[in-house]
Amino acid sequence: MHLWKVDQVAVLLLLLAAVGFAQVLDRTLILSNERSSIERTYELTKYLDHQLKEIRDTYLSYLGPPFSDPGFSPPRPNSSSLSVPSAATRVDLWRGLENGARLAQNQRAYSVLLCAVRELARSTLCPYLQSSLMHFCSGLSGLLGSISGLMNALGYTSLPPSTPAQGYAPLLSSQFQNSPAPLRSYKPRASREGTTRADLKRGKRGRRKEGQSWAAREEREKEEGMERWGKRRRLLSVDEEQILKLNTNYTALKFGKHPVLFSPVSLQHRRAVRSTPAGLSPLSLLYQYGGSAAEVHTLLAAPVLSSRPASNDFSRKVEGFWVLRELQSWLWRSAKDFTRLKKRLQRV
Amino acid sequence: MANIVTSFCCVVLAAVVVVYAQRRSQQGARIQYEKIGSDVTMQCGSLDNDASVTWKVNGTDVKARRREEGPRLILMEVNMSSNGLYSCFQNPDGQRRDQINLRVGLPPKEPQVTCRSNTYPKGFYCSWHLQHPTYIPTDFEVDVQHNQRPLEVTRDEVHKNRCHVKFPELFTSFPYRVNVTAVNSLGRASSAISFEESSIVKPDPPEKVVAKPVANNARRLEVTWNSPSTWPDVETFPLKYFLRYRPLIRDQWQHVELSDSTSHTITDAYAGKEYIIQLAAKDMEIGTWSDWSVAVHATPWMEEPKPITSTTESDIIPETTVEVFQGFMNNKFLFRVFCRLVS
Repeated sequence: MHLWKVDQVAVLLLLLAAVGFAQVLDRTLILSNERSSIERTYELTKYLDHQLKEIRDTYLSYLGPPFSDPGFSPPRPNSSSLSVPSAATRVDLWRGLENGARLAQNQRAYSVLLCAVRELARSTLCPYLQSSLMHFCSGLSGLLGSISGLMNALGYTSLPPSTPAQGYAPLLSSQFQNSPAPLRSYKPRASREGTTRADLKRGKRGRRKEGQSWAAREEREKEEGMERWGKRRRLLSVDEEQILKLNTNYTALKFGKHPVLFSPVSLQHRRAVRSTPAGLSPLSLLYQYGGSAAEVHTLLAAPVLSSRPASNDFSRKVEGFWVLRELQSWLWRSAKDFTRLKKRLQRV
Repeated sequence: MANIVTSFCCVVLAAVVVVYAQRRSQQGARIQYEKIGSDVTMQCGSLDNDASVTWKVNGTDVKARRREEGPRLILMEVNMSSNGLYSCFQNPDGQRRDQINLRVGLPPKEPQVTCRSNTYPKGFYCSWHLQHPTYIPTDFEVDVQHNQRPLEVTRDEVHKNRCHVKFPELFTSFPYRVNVTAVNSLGRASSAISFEESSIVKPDPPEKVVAKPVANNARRLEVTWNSPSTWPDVETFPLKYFLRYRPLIRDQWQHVELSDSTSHTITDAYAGKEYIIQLAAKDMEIGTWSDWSVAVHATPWMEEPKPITSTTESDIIPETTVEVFQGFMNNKFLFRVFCRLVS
């Protein structure tokens, strides 16, 4: 009888040990998953940084002088008009950031930057540049997604989906069911499970088109994202009616040092968007997609556009400059952030 | 004993007297800086215009092209040989009235400025130099601006033309602007440079590079090194390394890039060849590669040569040894082959 009790105790202890070991293993496994997620997110920031360098050069050429002059740095618009968070931080503060706070800062920054770059893309007149920027946005969206996934997996609170901070709102996808690449649609990440690995893969490679069901959600997120970015600070206001009426081919006259000039081959009825001191000919956005004008309308006349007259051309260019500049700083910073995160988790 | 002490005291006293006399003679001598090639006017004290003076330079007569107008000495188109201590003596009493130390030179041209951060993220340093010498004392004023705010600049104690600045913040999108002004008595010139935080990061080369052969493996070399000691935080700001190696007899380098590791084993070394190995470091994301480290030499492990016995010699076919001879130019091997061919 006595012996049997000892056996029982031994078995119990063994079971407890096994459970404890399993938990430790589980935790180690979770952490190793996270470490590889962090590694992948790190690689993604480096990839995006590399991409951004090229896009930025092209974009600055597109803006023309003085932006295209090497070493040019205009004064940064004050915070009321430019809500992009600055990556700059004091060394000691940066070092002391807790993992959760570190990730949250990244998440907030990229959500705002994503909207900002989208806006930039939307108002870019050069189709090649626009598609490059859109493509870049998809990568940025993937980065944002993997950061959010990482936060969930590590148990930190992400910003709630209702706020635009998580606004990795898919691109104007649903409207382009019939249109060709490069515009793709993305499934917004709703689940809080540890699907980071799969999501990262998707984010990197780009995703297939999704169904119409996301349309409503996308629209809402876009709106909020735009609010946060600042509805008023658009880089280019476009008269919606004009676009509807346009159904012509376009020719890009020049690309390079000077802003792209468009000359309509044939025009039905139009008004000049604005006349600019920069010497651009009366601008009209001319696109011809395989789809109808309605699609073009939704591409360009998303809820954010207002019918306000175009604000100062130079100040818009300055904003565009600063969006990409700040994005570059953030990508450098994120690489260091993830390195630090990886090391901190290694010690756990 | 007393004699030694007395003579020592005398020597000291004499030295003091000499120094005092020299200083006294220099007293009242003011320095006058003038531009090379210009005409220089030296005024003898506050004498009247009709005063008559005699000029001497370094105690001797003035031989250069000149004009004398009352108390003034005008030297034409001065050059470096015009340098000297000019004294004027009033006629007829011969009393010395003034002394002028003439130094000819040039106004400064724009200095060349470079900045670098080898202690990221602590700070950076800027150094400057004048491409053309001025020959006269020239000072430098440095000011560093970031986001329209001036930063505190610390002059280096050892290097006269260097200053140190701490980074006010990291990951900044604003460029830094450094303005260096060279000033001397003949003029001033300044130049400014502008740079981004990330572009000036360049670590010092890796240190303590050691390359060792690996026992019983004729094709391996084990290389270890340390991160540069000036890099403050290699944990948070890891470095990646570039290792290059080549046998001494070859000109082409082989390269390996390594991340966050301070050792590497070369596995494709030519057996028996002496290698030269160097390393460079770079921050993982930003900046540029460091200079190459000090080169180390190493030879992979070699088997001890077996003693040659006479009975096996005849078996050796000359052609194969000649082929091998072309492949390996090792001295020992050459000697052996030569011996075989000869015997």
